Amino acid sequence: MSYRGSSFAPNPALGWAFGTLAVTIACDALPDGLILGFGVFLCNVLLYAAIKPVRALLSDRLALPVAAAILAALASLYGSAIRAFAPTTALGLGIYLPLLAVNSLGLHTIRRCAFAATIETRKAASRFATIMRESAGTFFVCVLVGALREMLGSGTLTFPALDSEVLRIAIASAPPFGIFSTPAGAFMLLGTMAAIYRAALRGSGRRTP
Amino acid sequence: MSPGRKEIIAENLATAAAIGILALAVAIAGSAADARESAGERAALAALTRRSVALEPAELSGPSGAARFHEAAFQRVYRIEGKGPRLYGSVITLDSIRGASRIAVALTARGELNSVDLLASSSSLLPFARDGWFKEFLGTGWNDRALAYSAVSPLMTAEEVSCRAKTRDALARLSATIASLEKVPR
Repeated sequence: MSYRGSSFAPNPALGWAFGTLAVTIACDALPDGLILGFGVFLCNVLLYAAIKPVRALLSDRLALPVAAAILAALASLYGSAIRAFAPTTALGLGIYLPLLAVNSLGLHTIRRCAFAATIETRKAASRFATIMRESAGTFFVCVLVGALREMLGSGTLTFPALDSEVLRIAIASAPPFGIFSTPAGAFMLLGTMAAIYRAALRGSGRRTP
Repeated sequence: MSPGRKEIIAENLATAAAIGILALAVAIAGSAADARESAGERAALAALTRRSVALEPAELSGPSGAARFHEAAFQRVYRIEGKGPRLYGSVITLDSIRGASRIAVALTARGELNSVDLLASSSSLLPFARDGWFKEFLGTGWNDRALAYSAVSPLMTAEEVSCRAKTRDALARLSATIASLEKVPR
């Protein structure tokens, strides 16, 4: 088997999303996927904005605890905003809203580790474009998982709105594959998506993680 | 104390202060969310009963420590003002493995369920979202058989049985809370 391209460079966002993205367990409907995906996106981008000045002021030993504290605060603030404007969705998501901090911290750590090989890749890791690409990728995965799980598991597609007024389209009269509404279905879907992603990478001649 | 040690202590203190400011911001946002949630509950109860709702809850649970009840399903109980029979109202959260539903309920001073309205449901598959789900509970209170032993049929799914039990428990606890507020002998 031959591969085009140079050295192996895993995509941390997709690796994290397909491998350890516990947050997708909670994405069993399109609104949940949008809210959680946007939460991860927001936490990552705001952490990037906040951590740069913090790093200039503090030593390296405090970087990770401060990043964790910033992410915990961001996830709490985001959770409060969702609770204020969409209380039912917030109640349905439960613990997964504060857990956004853990997911974002995981992404932050994996990115730093994955890009730590050389000075050049370390610089690339801290570029705004890299953060945006990874955060947007995570958002896309959450939305896709939420929409697919709702369509397959419930036979509906719900478009979000603030609290009670929602637009829900019935795709099937009965849930086609009820298992996709459950956490087991989330893992099955993630596994399938990972396989498709790897096949697409191989097809384009790139090395797969 | 060496200058290096002083520097480390100063850095630790600055970090602690910054985290304290973050915690304050989170607390302020939490209070704002609570206030908005409370306003939403009052509006829903006013729409349900077509009467005005007291500004302050008659009972309030939560981490403030002033709670007389510690209830996950409901946090605030309001007095419904205006003409007509004395009523209390609350917004109840009912959840299952598929998600959560919020309902606005009004109860009489004796704790009997007067009216109920589904506000929102995070999934259309939730039993709470079905038409007529709360019908059998109307007119019953904490001391009635309908709340004590709601009918379970062999044709019901496990989820339906579980949701029925959750509905019954939440309404019975709210009813008992209102009875205790009114000092109704139990």
